[in-house]
Amino acid sequence: MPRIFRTKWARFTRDGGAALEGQHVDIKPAQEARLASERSAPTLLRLTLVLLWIGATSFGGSTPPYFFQEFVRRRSWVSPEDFTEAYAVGRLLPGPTGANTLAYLIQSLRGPLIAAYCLIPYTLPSVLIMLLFTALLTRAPGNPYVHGALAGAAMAGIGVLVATVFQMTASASRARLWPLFIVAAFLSGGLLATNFFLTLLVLSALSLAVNLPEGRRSEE
Amino acid sequence: MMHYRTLIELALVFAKLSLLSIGSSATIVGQMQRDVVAHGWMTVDQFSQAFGLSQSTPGSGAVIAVPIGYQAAGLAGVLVAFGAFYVPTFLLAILVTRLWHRVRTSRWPNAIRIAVLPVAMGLILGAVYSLGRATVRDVPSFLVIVVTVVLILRTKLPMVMLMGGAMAAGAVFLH
Repeated sequence: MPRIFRTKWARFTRDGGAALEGQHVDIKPAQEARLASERSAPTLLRLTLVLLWIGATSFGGSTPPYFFQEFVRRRSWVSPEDFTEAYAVGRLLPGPTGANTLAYLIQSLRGPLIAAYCLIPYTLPSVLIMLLFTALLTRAPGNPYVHGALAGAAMAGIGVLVATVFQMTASASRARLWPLFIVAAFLSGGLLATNFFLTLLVLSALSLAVNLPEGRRSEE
Repeated sequence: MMHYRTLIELALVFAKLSLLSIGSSATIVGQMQRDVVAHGWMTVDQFSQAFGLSQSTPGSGAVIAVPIGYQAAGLAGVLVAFGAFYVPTFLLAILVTRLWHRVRTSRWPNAIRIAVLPVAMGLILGAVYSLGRATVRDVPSFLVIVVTVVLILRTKLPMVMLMGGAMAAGAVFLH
């Protein structure tokens, strides 16, 4: 694998593509993928089918790794560099990271209208599956085994949250005073249950104030 | 009349939550639980179960909007809650990515992301505290959480297997 892509890949996995970490990656060199992406804009039908497939099979709560597999590895629609940038933008913006990453990718491939349309095939399978689950489970509320299974899912859901915090630690530790802001946000948002928006706004502003970009800091 | 009011409330709550979910969608779980319970759409127990289910189905974790919308206002509630959660931020993402080339060389976007991360982590831990206080009632429940965390961090098991195992353990030990 070329050195430039190893660097991009390492940055992608470190920044949150943890679901992909450790997988065998046998990808075309970055330049080749870029050239391929330039010569093959996917058709609407092909995009629809791929997104329906991703929507129906992307278990794990995080869809960007599946985009990487389909858009970069299998079809070379997007170069690894462009994907890394799409993922970084997706994480920066509010809203689900997967949908934001998709917006960036499709926008660059087929423009804003097709990007807006692609939200439908991307979300439709998971909505239908979840709806089926919900309808089935609400019809068996008194069954103790169903109740126990749901309680197990609830506990595992809490476990997912705890694990998410552990997985974010490597990235967060690049911020100055990061343990202090974790504790402050926990106390404010969890123990004291103060206004979420205020907590997010005030603590993020304070954290940004002590984590100004290096150039900006030296100017001041 | 009451139905339309519920739909409007669903739209407002989920659009707000989506716009506030910076850093990670998990950031807003605690606030979502408070909003959902305060509006009487679900109990804390039901919310925790819906959250667990949303982790075991394909697609984004944002699919939790489906059971909440369904519980609040049926199929119309699903459309409104899910649409409100996805559409505004998705359109915003399309708009921003059109302008992205103007700021792509700036150091600010990355600085903001790094600065927000610790706050997001604290808010997620707040959600853990809030959900755990209401739903963890015995040692087996606590053990399911611990085992899930260890398996996620130490193995590459697919999430659907983890959730299936947790649900099976729950059916045996938590009923």
